[in-house]
Amino acid sequence: MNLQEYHLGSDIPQLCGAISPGKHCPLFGVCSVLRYVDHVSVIYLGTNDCVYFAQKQYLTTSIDHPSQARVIAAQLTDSDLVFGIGKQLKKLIQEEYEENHPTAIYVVTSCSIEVISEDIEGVTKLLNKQMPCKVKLIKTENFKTLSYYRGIELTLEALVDGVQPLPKKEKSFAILGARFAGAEACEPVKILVENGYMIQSNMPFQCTEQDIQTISQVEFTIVVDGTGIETAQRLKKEFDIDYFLFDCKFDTEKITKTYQDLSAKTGIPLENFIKEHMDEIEKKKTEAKEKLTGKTFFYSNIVLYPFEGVKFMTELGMVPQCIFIGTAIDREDRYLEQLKKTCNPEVIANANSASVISKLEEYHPDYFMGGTINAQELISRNVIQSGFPVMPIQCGFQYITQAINKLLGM
Amino acid sequence: MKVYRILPDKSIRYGLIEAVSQFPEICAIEFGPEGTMHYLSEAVADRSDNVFTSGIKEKDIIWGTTKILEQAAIDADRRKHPSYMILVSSCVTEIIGTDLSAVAKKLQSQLTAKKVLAMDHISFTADESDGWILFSKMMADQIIPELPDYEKRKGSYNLLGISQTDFHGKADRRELKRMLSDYMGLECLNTENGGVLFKNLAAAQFNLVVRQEAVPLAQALEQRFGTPYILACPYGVQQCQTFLKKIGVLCGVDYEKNPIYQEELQMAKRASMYLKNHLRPIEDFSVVLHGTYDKVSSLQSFLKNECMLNRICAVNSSNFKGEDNNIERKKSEAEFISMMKEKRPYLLISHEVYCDYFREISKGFTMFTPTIHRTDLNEFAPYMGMRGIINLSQDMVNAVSCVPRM
Repeated sequence: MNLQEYHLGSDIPQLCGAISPGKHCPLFGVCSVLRYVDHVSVIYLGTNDCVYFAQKQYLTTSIDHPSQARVIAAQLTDSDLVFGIGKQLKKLIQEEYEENHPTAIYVVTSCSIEVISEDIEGVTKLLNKQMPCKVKLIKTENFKTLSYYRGIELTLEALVDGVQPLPKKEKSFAILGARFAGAEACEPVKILVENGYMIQSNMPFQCTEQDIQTISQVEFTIVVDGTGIETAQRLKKEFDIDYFLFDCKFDTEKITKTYQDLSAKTGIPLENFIKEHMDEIEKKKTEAKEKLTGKTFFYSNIVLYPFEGVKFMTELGMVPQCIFIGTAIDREDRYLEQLKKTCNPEVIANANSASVISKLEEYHPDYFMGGTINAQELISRNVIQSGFPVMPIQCGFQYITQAINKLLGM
Repeated sequence: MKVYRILPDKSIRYGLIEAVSQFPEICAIEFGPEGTMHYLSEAVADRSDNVFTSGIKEKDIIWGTTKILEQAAIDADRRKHPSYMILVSSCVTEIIGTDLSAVAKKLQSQLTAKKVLAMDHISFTADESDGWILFSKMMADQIIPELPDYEKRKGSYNLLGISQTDFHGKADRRELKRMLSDYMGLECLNTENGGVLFKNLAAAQFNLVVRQEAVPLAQALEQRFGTPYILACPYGVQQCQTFLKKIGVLCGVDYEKNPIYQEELQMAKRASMYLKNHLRPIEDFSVVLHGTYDKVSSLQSFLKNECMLNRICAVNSSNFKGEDNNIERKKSEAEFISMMKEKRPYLLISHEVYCDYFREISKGFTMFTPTIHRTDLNEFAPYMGMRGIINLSQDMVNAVSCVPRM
């Protein structure tokens, strides 16, 4: 499929139907978030394959930031398919509360539970009313979405579900969408903290159920990654909490506008800051154009918005040949439509490295942006590999500056 | 519903994929959500180029269509040219009742693979060892009888049943190969990453099997090609000697005067003695061994017969039922926890997760997978074989001496 034929939401063709190893599923997204929430219990409910890896994922948190949640794996047996699991689940949830008194119990179901259509939601809703702690269901259906980002979004929504309105706490804000360490040091957060603002919670990387329940106090939220947008919108709708989006990493116009809005909201003067950074970025862009104009590339970064990223590279004079779509997809068609006016590369779902290699043989690009292929394969074909900084926790002008520096250093 | 508070067992598909990955001329395609294969890819480490997923979408589940699987099989066939193709069900397609045998039959005429096989009707509670057995039996019934003859290569053998992802697995494989090469001049026919080729199944003088689950495959090879097999998982001096003796007799090689063998035997004996001298004086020394059947059986024998330890409790962590009566059957997680609380062994030999979980009861020694934070990069530090005795003794002494019992 070429870019001109593609619309957001279209099925992106696989280059090869035989996929190896396949993408992470939403269950992974849920695991990656819930393990960091303090004083909660998580029950993963599914077949052996799913619950084994879910629990293992919980165990693999870094030693520096050990998991805060209690995790239980409830594995389906053959007889459960016939007789159901409602009663057993109810008992398990009640026992877990009696033994450990968590502040919340999250029941996470995988594909197989959704396929057998048992009314788990009925069980969790009933217990949520009856029990002194929150009981919430998170459904993960890999066959409905290929992106684990959906799991993160669902979890963030589940976390803020049931939050009650509270009086506003002045000069406080929450970070949304932070899946890695370092959000407290990202550009907009740093500016706010330096000006006397306080981080009320950092979701989901570092928060407790207590932080979540008091999130309605904050004046506004800072969204550092696309996975936090839906929650930010929900908080706006339910508690009139303004949000500032820093999910787009390369769009300087959007970043500038967001900073201007943030300045208006907080009264922090940011005009000089914006001007200085824009001047620096423009200077670096000019430098990059001299080096990169006319160079062809494959784009395979799986965690950034692909069309925004490719559009940014075309602004530097580069020519896209293939765009491999991974986990993230742009949320608006602005960048896609702008790109369509200037180029028509192939759009392909990420597949085996063998498939990517066949495209390398066909196009012979100068650059390969992303890390989904063995570096030796690229070196042997004289293709320069590079990637943008892999921790998109950075945002504002910080990320784009680093990205251009990386391109200049290639 | 089985409830786990520490870690569930590895699934049957984990074992199945692990076993298939040993045969690069076979392609396996799972018909299911991409996520499961992404996770399962850890079972195959660097041998992942013959196991695939087709992915599955909501519409495939609603309409019961298998087009996505058929396309995956066609693409894999075109790209890899496998001799055999195996279609594997996922939990989702098990529930919706996809008839993989019918798909296999339909695909047969469209593919260059000699045979398209289906693997479905898989139990939800089966574990990794069941996956190995399922695959071994499928090989024995469907593939081995069809393999052509090849001229026998004297002094050559295949290693069957070794997993790439076992803790110290790569190092153990390397050590077994090295011993048989250095002591007896035998040639291992496995590929660099442990793969087994069909022509070599026919050509080998014997097969060396390191896990019982692969025995049905070895038996089928014996029947088809007259190739004898030796089952061995040699930990410790005595078992290494028995193992080498069997092979020496089978191949007619007198290796005992080989200076390399003699030198290493003495070193191994010293290490084993060191371990014995270190463990025996510990007043309340007792050990719980928890792992896969063959390894646990062999380790128990080593600790009992060589280190003269009496208080050993060996527990099978897999569904596989062997003939060793000294090994306790697989326990549920709750049973294992209460056993540990009751016995309070001095040392627990298990996987990293259990060793970590029970650290307040016992000192832990990680010898099995899964590992979480431990890496297994060193391919020259085996636990099996002659050099393995030295490593094993050293690491076990360190585990006992250097980590305080909490």
